[in-house]
Amino acid sequence: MIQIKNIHKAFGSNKVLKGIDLEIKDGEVVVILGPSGSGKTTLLRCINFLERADEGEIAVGSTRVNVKHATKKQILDISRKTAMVFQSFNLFRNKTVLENVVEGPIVVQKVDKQRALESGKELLINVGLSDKFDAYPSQLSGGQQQRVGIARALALKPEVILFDEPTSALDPELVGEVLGVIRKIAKQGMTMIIVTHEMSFAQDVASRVIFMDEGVIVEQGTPNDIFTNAKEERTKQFLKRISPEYSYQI
Amino acid sequence: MGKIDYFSFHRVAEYFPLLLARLHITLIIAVSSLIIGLVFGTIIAAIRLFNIPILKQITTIYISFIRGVPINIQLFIVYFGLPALLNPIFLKVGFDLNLLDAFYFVIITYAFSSSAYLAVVVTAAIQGVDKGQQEAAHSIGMTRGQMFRRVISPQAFHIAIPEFGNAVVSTLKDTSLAFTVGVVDMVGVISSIAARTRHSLEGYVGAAIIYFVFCVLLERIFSSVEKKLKVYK
Amino acid sequence: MYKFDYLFFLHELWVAITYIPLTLELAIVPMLFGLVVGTILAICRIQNIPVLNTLIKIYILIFRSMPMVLMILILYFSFMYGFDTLASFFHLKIRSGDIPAIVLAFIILSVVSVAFMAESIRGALQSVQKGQIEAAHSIGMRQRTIYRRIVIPQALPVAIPILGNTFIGLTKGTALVYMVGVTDLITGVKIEANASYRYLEAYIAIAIIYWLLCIVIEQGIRLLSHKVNILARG
Repeated sequence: MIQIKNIHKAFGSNKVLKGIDLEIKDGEVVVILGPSGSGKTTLLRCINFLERADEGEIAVGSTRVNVKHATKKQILDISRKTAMVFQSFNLFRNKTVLENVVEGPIVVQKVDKQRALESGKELLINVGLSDKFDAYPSQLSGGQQQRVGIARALALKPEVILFDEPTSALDPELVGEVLGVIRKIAKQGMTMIIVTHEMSFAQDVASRVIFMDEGVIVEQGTPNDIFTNAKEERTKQFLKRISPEYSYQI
Repeated sequence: MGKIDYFSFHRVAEYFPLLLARLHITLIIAVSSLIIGLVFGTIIAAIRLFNIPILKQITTIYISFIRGVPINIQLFIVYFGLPALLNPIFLKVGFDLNLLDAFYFVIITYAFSSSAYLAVVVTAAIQGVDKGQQEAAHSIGMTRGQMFRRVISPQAFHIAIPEFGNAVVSTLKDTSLAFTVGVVDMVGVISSIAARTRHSLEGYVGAAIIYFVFCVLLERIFSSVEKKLKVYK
Repeated sequence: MYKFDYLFFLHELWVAITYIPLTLELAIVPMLFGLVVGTILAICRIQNIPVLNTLIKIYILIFRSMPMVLMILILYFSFMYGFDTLASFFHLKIRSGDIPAIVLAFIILSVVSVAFMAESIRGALQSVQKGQIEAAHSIGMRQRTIYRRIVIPQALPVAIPILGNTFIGLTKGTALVYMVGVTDLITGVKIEANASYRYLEAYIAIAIIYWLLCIVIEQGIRLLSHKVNILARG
């Protein structure tokens, strides 16, 4: 369970998050939509403390942290309960695919090496990379790298996986393979928060959709609630701009 | 009209063994300075990366001084200055720094000098590692120590290699000035040869050839190491 | 305990300051020469002119893989001997010993500077994206115009820091010209120190002057770089 209370974040004089409250139950797949600058990526990065929010509370599982007084240990704790899949993949360049996946379990979670390697291999097979164990990230396509990124996140057995625009940096023809893997994980019951621009994917996979704009949550609900029956004007405007399918007869 | 004998390749060949006999001194100076310089330079880099208040300013001045002052002047300052500065202490234990062989002053000078360049190389390399790598390491819950050891330093090492190669070649070339404080290395021995034969040009040419071979060799070695490591990046 | 003679040190500092113009001359003149000839060589390298390309490559390789002091000494003796041989061949009265040392210094430093400049300039010119040149070709520009209007304006921001560094290197290189008999900053300051054996004060004074010179040059480069970058953005 993830609980976010009253999160505020400013970069200099620019207020990016103006009081976010959010609760995510286990197994939920939450998709966050919004125009650029809405703060959705910043919110995601605040959850695992890649960014330090200015005030508020973040709780992941049993760890509850007040961001103003967060200790190093608390931050480490949260970073170990969460995993992130990055827009630019960020695979460890100096390690092979398999090493990337087992790095977390072996080095951070102190899992037995043999067991970690076996689970790692299984995960990689699961994401369709059974023949790339010893390849280096520089030898893989974008789609392959992202799938490794997802396997790396899964290997940690986290409370939640945070997806920061996982397909935005991919060539169109590679987007599908990554979305397929994410869909698979969602079905397996992993708690996920996904920031994305892929609308039809969001409709398909999400159990809840959140629309953010200018640092606040404007509207949230089931995919149906948002995509076909949006209540707020801002939401409607955004959806109309993104895809003509969502324009309404006023 | 008699032809004045200015230059003969024969003499170059003649001087070669004499020069090579002194090569080890040049190499020892270069290697020792680089090793000490690397250690010291890493410490300076750490000070700068961790932003330690007063020390960082001192390192900035230090690096600026080393980069702005010609190396032969640095040599003279250490040669005259170190005894002047430290003799009060050393004389008490019965050791007069003025009697120390110039060889050691040379190594100390070059160690200081290369440490400044290497500090910059190390700092640039560590800062050159893509920030995303750090974020990924954080996202899987690594401590800063683990992050640095397992992700950042291996990659910084790869980034540093070309510039480090430059620093090595640079230090080697700088050793050619050791003779100005009296070290009898390859270049230093030429004066004594010239005193006998009055033909120093062939000596300088011979020494230049030896330096040339080493520099080109080093450059080749570093580029092939770079190429081999490129697979992983 | 070594008593640092502050008064003498200040005196040496003053002596050193009087030599600054000479030191700058010894750096700037070779620099300019190197810029002109170096650019020509760089362009030859880029255009890949058959025989010239290899010759230039070898020239640059030799001069960059050798310690500066050896280059200076070898050029010095070679020039002297060559000059004397030619002079006696043409039955001229003049001998290399008649040439003022400073002229020799200028010639030697210029030859050295060309090698470094050529490499730096080539690097800067080649840093301009090929696509820019291809686009210029496709609208029918002549090679010369392409260089003038497209390549050089874009190469300049890249070139300035690199050339600045080379200039600093040349400035430090002037610290070696005393070996060819020039009465420069080092000789001038040392003359004063020879009587009293107060070499430490002399060398620290020399170091400070060089240090200040380099700092001023660095700041100048930074300013210049800033201005050029603003111009380059358009």
